[in-house]
Amino acid sequence: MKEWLIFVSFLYFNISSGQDISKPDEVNYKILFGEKYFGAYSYLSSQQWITDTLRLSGIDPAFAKAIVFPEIIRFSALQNALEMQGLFTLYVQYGASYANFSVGRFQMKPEFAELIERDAKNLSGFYSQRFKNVDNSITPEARIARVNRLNSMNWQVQYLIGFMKIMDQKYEKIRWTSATEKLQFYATAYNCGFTKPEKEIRKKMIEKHFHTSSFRSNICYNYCAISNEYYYSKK
Amino acid sequence: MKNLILPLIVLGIFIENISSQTTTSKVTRKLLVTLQQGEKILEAESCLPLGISDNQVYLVTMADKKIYVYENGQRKGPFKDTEEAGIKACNETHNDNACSAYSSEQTSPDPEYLAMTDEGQYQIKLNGKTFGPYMFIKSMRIWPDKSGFVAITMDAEMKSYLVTSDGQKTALEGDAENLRFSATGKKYVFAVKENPNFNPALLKMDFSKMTQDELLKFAKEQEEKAKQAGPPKAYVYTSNGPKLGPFDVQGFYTDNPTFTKTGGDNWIMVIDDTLYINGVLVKKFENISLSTCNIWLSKDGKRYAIISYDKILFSDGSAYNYPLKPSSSEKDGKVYLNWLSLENEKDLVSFSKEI
Repeated sequence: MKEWLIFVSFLYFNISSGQDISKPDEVNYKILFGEKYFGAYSYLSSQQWITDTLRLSGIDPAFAKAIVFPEIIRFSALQNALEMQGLFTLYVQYGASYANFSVGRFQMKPEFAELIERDAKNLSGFYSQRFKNVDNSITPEARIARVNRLNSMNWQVQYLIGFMKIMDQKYEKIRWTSATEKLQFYATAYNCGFTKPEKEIRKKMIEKHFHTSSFRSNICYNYCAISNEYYYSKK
Repeated sequence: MKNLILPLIVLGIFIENISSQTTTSKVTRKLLVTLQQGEKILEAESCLPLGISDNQVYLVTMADKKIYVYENGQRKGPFKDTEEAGIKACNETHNDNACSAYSSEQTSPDPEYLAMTDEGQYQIKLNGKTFGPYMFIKSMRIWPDKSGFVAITMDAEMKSYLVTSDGQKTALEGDAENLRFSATGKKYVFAVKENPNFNPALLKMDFSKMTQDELLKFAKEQEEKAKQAGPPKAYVYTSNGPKLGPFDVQGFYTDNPTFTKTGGDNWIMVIDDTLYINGVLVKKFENISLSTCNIWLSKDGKRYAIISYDKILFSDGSAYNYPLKPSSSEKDGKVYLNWLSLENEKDLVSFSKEI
């Protein structure tokens, strides 16, 4: 207990004194995010149906969960301040160009859902079927339906599967040097936008944009490093 | 520069009273803020930096990558980032009135009113009277004036009962869910769900003395019974009358059924997008996803308003588009619904209408 307090004090001192402690290998995200980290970890471990759904889709559950893991930490940090009704209304009224905010445990944005719905229709047979009957237009009615889907964990998992399949198809010719490289690339694409060019995603792989506050903070962390830590804790 | 400095908050620029139909109540409309060209409400991750209190709006906007804060009738800025703007954390602008369901106090048994028998069973002691004994008290509520109580108890076979201080003891069909109370404190409503996996008789059986054939036969009998019983059902119990149901169990959740913040002793329930008030079917809604959180009642329970992402529907037939920050208020015994709306991407307007 004493050691814990000393370490937390040390951590607090580092953060409050503005030091950049978020260099890879120097941050222990478990301690940094504390109970939110373990809450996210515990959530993913307890949801067997997510594991089964991913596995049935031919996806390594640990890999896909690692991609969304930082978002679940963020979700638990923010959930007391979440205020979705008004944001949903602005999105339904004016679209993603006006209101594009993060929804649910996987912190998926309406625009992300729109893009997955659009691109998933080009996937090979089985996976395109899931989005076949989804109205991917941008009418208010389609937006309401999208918001309702984003509010459902079942659908968040389906969007995650769609993302994985789209990425697999788009980058099938890349020979990844390691699972780490692939994970870091996918996780960064998930966080910063999977439609961005490969070069830009690779550039962002080493940047620090992840934070757990409503508004962007001066202290940010590397998204894919957190994913990576989770992934290897499950291996 | 002038147009940047000039505060464009127009508090009370004009108030219109729009009387739509003869049977409808009036709606009060007030323009609060006109945003400048290219200015929009700041896009935050999962937070809407917008609040209203006593007609004072708090709003954070962005234009040309600069931040502006509207507060106390002034537009402040430009700020280079949210930190410099010193904006309030989102939970400070949070509208905790957003859900209409009334959450009563905890219903865990209050030790002050409990006693225990020599056999280790619970008793409830109130106003010189003793009630019980009960093997277990799952939830209990003493009326605010201490004149009585309602409780959900269980016996040794884990069967649930509704028990009241006026002598009522009703065996329930299954698990009692979330006892809800009205704001006045004496009215209650709750759902009971059948649990097909729970069979109190099993608790008394000694399976160790059964042969494999007997076990198999017993399992088949149980399976047949379950088939004959059909899918589990739900019932609703209320202080106002006989139990209601059966209903499909899937329709019930934490705040369903519930009393509301504005509807006094009247309770609501939603099943399959159908609204029930005090157990009476009012209307099935199409193209709207009903939740008890989004239904606001008048004090007498005769009128209602339903809020969705794209509109507010009032029971008088009137509808208003794209409501933000809905909340309720009371004046002269009447309940008003208040909300904001961003019209034409620039006019932040407040509305108020009696339910």
